[in-house]
Amino acid sequence: MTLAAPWSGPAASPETARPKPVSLVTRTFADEARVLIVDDDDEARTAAAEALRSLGLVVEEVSNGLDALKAFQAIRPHIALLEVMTPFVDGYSTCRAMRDLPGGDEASILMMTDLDDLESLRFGYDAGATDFITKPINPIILQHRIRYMLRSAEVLDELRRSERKIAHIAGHDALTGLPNRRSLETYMKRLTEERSASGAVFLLDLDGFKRVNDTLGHTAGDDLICQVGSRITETFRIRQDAVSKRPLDRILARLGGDEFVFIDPHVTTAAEASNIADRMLGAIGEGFDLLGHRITVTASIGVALVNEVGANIERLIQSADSAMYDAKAHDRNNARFYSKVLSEKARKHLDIENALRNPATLSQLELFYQPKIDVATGKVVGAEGLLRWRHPERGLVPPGDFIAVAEETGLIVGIGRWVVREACRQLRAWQDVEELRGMRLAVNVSARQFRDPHFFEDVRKIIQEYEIDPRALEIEITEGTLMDDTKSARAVLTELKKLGIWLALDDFGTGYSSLGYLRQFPFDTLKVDRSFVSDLLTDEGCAAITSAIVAMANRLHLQVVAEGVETEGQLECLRGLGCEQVQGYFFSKPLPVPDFEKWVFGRVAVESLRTPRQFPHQRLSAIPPLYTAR
Amino acid sequence: MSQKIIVIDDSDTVREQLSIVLSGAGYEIIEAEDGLQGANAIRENPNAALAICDVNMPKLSGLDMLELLKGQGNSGMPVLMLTTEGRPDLIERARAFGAKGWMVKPFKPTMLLVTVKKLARPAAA
Repeated sequence: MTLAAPWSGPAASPETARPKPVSLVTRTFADEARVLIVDDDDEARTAAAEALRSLGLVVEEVSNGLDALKAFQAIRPHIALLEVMTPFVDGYSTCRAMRDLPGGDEASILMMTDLDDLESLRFGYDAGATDFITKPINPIILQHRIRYMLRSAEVLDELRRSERKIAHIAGHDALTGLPNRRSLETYMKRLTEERSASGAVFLLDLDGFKRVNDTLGHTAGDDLICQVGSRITETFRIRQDAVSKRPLDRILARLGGDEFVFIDPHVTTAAEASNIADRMLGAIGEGFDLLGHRITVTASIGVALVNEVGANIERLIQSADSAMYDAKAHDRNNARFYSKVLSEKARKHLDIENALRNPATLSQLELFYQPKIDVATGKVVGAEGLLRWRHPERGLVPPGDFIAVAEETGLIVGIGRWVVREACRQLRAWQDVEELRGMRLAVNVSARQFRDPHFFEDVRKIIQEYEIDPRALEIEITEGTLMDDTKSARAVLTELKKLGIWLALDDFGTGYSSLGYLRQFPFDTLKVDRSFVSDLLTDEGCAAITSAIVAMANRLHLQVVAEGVETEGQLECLRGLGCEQVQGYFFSKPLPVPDFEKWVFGRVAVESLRTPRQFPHQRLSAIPPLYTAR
Repeated sequence: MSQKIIVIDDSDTVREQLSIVLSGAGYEIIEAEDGLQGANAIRENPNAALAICDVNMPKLSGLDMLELLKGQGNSGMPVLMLTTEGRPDLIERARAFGAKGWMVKPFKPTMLLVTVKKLARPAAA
């Protein structure tokens, strides 16, 4: 019989000559069961092979130890039937060598021997034999032994696969298949043990990911996360087995949400890291196809270098994290490096977040009021309520220090509800004071609060609760809030308008919206951003833009309020441009309630503001401003 | 006159174990501690029956030694490789350089003796 060596080129004994494997005993193996028979006794080998082929097994035959090892590598048999006395490499040696081959620990090795002394058996088991069968071999017994071994092998195989699966699940993120936090820790342990002078940790967080989830749905959000993962993986040719690969290679892990960690163990300088961060931002900036739309997203990256921060897992992640917050604070879509100053900032950020999460904080909040003055009459026509936090230890916390944190964490929704309630409570209280009656109070509503599905209902209930005239409440939102989701923003604004609430567009001129675009929303007031006012007298461009805004707003029957008026010159200029209302330090800074009341009482005594001039046009707003109605 | 076997291994323990087993079976042992010494021992003892040779050794590895001997026109002395290595590509190389057998350590004394008897040149040769 000619021996076929499938690994040595075209088979000498054609596949067709063999019975087709029928899966009798091998149902759960991924493929058919394979047996390798190693014996230089042609007659014995052929007999064994025939007995096994009749079971439907795929059988490979070789006559010496070296060919056995080569065949083992080539076909990865489930079982090797191995003669002890084989030429060139003996059976024991072959057995030992097989066990060292890839997959060698997964096969069963049945040794055929006519030496049945105990020492031979013990030596055979030591060499890695699974079991022994004594020669001459009875084909029926062989069939039963092999069947039995295959069944055990099946169970073992199943077990191994389950173990591998469990290990994979435990170490990988279910959504993206990327290594998870746990794997990342394993990897970073290696990184910090093996490297002290190189390596960079990049913490990447998508900008405005929440918006994708909120507007396109969670399925689209998940899809985006997966696409970002693949994009980075492809860009940097990251291997799936990066966690265990030697030597250390690049890795991308998902921490959860829209946070990814990328580590390059070879980076030593900030310049190299910066290059990588740029490539990452570039790759993400190419855009993604989501639900048939091409969408653009940006990301913020925080970078920490091992040789600067030290080979400490926690410190590296924390540093990259605080650097990432810094990137978010700087226009987003950029990368920042860890620095000590930043670390303090991050700690402060965390302190504030923790404090805001404490329910007791709501009782420390206060609204300060900044009066709004009618340019023509000089009368106080309303006020903008501005949020302040009177911390028992820190004193008055500047809004810039905590509002952004509240927005980022979503805590702004609860805080915003408190603001609306407080303003309504104040309106109710002032109804009994003659000088303050009829005043309209404005509150700022953040995008996040505005998008909250309960927002409208909350406002409606609060107004009902305090029995105030809805027209006395003004809600200010920024352009960004509209841009996030135009359709639902319009729906909410329309509902609010139906209720009678006064609507103002805040910070106008800083965003991208045109006045024409704003026509589709039921706004009453346009607030010209303070940046235009501050440069009004020095920058001709500002004056021109402000003039155009006022003129167009008038045509659209929108009331114009200028913010940040600090000098008489600015006031006169705005008056000349036809601006109806102003607010700013020229009149008063935002004041706590008792001070505000005092200020108004004093003001009422004053007849008018400088030289009053009648406003040139008749307003046509559906609901007239309160102060003209009374 | 007893047959000579050249034992080439850098491990004292292995050489000692082999000496005990082989001298017990009546063989005379010539020891060499690396491939270079081994090559010289083979040249100097052309009438030895067999050489047993390790693979990983200082100065000259077992495989390099085989290659050297082959290049110089082997005396025809059979060589049995005795090593912890079991990689098929190394075994293949040894066979190509003329080795007559390959055993993976640790060895079983009876198996070693069976193999030695099979490979050793008859004393008369």
